[in-house]
Amino acid sequence: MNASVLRLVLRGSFAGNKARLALTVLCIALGVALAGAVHTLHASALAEIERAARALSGKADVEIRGPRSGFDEALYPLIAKREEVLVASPVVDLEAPLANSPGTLRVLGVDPFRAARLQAGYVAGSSSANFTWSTEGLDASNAWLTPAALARLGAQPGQTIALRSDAGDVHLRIAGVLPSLDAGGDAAVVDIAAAQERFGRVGRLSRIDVRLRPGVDAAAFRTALASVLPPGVVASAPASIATRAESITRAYRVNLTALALMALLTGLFLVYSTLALQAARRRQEHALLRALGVTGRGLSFLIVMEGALVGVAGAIVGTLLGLAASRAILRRSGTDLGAGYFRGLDATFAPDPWALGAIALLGVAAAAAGCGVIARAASRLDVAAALRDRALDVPQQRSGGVIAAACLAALGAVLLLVPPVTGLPVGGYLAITCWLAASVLLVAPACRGALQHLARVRDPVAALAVAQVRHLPGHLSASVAGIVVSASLCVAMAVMVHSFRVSLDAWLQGVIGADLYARAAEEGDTVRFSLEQQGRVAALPGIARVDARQYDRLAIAEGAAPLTLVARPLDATILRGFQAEPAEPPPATSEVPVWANDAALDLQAWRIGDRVTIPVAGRSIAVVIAGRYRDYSRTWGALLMDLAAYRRITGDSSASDLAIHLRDRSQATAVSAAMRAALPEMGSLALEDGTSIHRRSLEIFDRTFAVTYALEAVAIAIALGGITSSFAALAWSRRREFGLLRHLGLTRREILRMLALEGAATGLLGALIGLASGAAISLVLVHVVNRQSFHWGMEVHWPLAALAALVLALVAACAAGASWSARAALRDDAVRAVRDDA
Amino acid sequence: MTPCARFEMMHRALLLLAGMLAACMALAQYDPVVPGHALQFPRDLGSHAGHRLEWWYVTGHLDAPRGPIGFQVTFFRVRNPAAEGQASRFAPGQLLFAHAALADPKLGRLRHDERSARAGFGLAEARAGATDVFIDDWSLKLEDGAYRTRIPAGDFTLELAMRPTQAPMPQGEGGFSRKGPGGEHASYYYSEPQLEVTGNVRIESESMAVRGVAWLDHEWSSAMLAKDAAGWDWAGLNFDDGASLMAFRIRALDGHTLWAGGTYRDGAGTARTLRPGQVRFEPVRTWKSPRTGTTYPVAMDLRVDDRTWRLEPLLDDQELDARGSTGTLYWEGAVRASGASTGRGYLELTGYREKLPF
Repeated sequence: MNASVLRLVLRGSFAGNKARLALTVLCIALGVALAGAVHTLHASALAEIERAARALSGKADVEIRGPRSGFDEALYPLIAKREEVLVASPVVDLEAPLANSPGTLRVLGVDPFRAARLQAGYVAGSSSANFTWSTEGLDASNAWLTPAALARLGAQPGQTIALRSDAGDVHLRIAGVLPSLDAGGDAAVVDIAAAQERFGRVGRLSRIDVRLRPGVDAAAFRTALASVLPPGVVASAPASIATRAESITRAYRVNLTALALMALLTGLFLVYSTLALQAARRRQEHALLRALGVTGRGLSFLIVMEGALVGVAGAIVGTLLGLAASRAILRRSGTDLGAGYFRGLDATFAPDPWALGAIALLGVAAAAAGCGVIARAASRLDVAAALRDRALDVPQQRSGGVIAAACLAALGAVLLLVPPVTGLPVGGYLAITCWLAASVLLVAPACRGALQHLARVRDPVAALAVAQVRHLPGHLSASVAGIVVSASLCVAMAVMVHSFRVSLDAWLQGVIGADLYARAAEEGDTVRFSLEQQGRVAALPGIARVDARQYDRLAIAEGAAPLTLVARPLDATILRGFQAEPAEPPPATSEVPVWANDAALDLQAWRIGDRVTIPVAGRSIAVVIAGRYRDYSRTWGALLMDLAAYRRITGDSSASDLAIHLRDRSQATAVSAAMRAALPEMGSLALEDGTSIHRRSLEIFDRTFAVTYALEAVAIAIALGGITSSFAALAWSRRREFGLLRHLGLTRREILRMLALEGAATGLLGALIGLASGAAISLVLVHVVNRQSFHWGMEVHWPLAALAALVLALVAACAAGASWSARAALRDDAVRAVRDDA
Repeated sequence: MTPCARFEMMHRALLLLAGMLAACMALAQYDPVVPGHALQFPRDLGSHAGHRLEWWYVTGHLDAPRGPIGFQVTFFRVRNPAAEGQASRFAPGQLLFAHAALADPKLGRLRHDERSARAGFGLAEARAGATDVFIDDWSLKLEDGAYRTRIPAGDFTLELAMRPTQAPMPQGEGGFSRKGPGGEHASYYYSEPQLEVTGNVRIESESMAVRGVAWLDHEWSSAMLAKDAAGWDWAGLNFDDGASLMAFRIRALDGHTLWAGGTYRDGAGTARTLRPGQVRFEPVRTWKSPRTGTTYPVAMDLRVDDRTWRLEPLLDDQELDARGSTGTLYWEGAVRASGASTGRGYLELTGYREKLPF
């Protein structure tokens, strides 16, 4: 078959149905765009994190870091004096709230003498003839800003910035800019002594960056250090910062990618049904081609080629769309993806051509695969019969679908038992794919079954519709399959998100027990309530009780996600609020009882009753895992400990948050004012009532899932569009039939009603099968995928109203789509239509 | 007065303080430098934390298998009163700087490296009561009757023991060294000339045993420099007959000598303090740096009364351009002396490019 023939035939096949073709391309494009955008955003974010880490740690080989509260500076000389160490640079790294505007500023306290040997950029003006750095570099009132920080604050060198701290507001003069730290992001660099002195960190360090002597093996050094480092302080390679960021976001990213693949899967079915319908319409054409000497193989090639072309178009549009979208998102809101992982990170657009190419190829492959089935049927065409035959039906799959579906369903069930692979719910995703395939395979037998049992209807129009549907079981199956795939994915996502939201709502109800919450500062880690300040608040009239809370981030192992320690007064009521199991403190033990969230249990492989040690305040503390509790506010490990025990261990009586119970809830405003008056030195004090926290948490949830909601809506819209256009294609080829019916006396309205009934039947069948398989998939999402990727346990809650609305919408849309799409075909003069037939 | 490199290093040290000078003076009373205050050993071998500036400055000639080599090792201590009284152990109340250079005729220019640190944590200290100063693994210490220094630098390592063969040589009036006509600019200053050097030098991957002769200066002060000084010439010479000579002059902007002085001590140990009129530096040959375009009088006739020594550099290019890191540019070079007697020492030339900014 030469190229010009191919071109002619392809042109012929695409000319007929532009709207449907466009939808198919759009669907492929959507999948490709989504996967591409997710990947690009994430790659850009990671590249930025990597670059920032590199920019700030310079030539460091090893990074020694401790919990959020830092570690004793006595470690510094021990590290610096080691044989293997060329330079050890101590760092105080803190996040200070801005005094005069919302937000925080990262403050890096470094010893410029040391830091400059790892990263010359810490010393301002080092390239100028005047050694300006040492003139002012050690002055505790000076700060050097990275260009990013300068730009964000809209400040100029010479101006003063004010930051909040325990010890009162810290005023720093912007002595200069550190242009070489530009890639390091938003930060102010001050002398380490100033950071310790002015932000209440005397004696504490956050980090020690180490450069090793040439020839020293970094991994061996880290191992050797293990015995030297106090509990809770770990040595890691600087690159593991990016690795850690990657592992934290991986589950979220994989979920979005899975959504993208599902869009591609929907596209595959749309391609299949589009081309299947076309193939049916063009059976004679295909037969003619065969008669003219095109081999069966050649015909298959032709059809797959058509699909591939659709795929290529979709992939190109999708890749461009994905790039444009990720670029726009980067520019407008950073790399966040709505989940807050990379908040405040200003990444540069860094698309990865290889990954994007692979995703585009996947789109082309999906489209080509959709055609493969049709191509096989077409190549087996009985030429003589097809030339005579005017049947419009889609080639039907052979029997055996039920058995195959049962096998797939069983395989899916087995896959559910597969443990997560490197933290990813691979088994869950495969099970979803199996079940989806099974439900698609079940479509044809289900359609056959439904048609057999369809009751005889009296209404002649309805009877006509039934007869029509019965006459074209292949078309019915193809249309239903398209609906099944998108409907089941929508149902599954809807059930999952709803279950999550209801569980979160209930959890918030239990967790938010106090009337008023006070935070020393909205963000940042430099301001806390001292014991004396806590006492001042507790003594205010109108306050029944004040519960203090303190947090620390513990470093458990190199490269591992940190573990958050939440210290607060615990009693049975509070534990029940956290849905802790058991909610009763255990009988007195020598170990401190702690409750671990699901993530901590999963990630640390702890079980209830285990006795483990955790590093708190530089010591190894023996604790017993008294139970599990739910924590939707953290995607990784967290431990709940009684505040009294925490204070006994750490000797730290300060608090980050206060939960305030009022004598009279209606007095919240008055008490808030009294608190501000009682704590005049706390400029950063943030007060919020429980209801508002509850509402805000749900808002954050909705924002996080906004991407999901949007994708669901688009998937439904595309599926409906596809079905409408498939009906339109069918209607066009049924002009003769419509003409005959008109000829026989049916009104235009009656024909439209017949078509609407056909559409409704198709929609209902698809929606019901989709509902069933979607419900099954939602269970996988809730109990396997979510649990394994986010470690959030939850109950399944059925959004019955939403599901009913979805079914109704599908049925209505199919009915409306079917009748609407036939109007053009019906506009034709009936007589002419019949003559057409002659 | 002391070598010009130290002058340059001091320049850096002073810059450090320049911005807050007035405040410092109000905040802290530096220990004064007054005449008639006799030096006491071993007390004065160590650090004088109350003074503003202090340095231990070693220069010398080494005989190595590859030929003669000059070396220079300096430790500076600077007091930063602005940081005093803080609770943080990192408070930069005392700062230490170290500088090392190797004059290698085979290379044709200097190899040099430096270290800076705030004192503390046992990582960088200048101890009181004994010569013991270090920044990480760079150290200078008087131990078992010899000054021992270890300088593992980038492309060279010095490991030297320098044994005094004579008593310390107090400069000026029993250790009180005037830097100008008035009494307000002065330092406490003694030298250890004729140090007998043994040890090892690594140059790149080549390690070699060396012997030689060195000179150590230890000087501390709180107010050193006159405002109208543009630069300094300094020389410290160990003569083959056991005699030693330290001579310096402070140049004004127009090149005329603002102040001069020195000490000559003969091999028998009889020292003579030199007054401004007794010391003259006369340029014989200049060398223009191809890198910075600065012209230095690298060969000098040094006249003390009626005796003249011709100072010829071991190599012309001993310019130390540390503007990229410390902002200093000067010539600090190993020289050979001939004429009235023969010997080896160091010549230091600063302020030849531009007026020093203080």
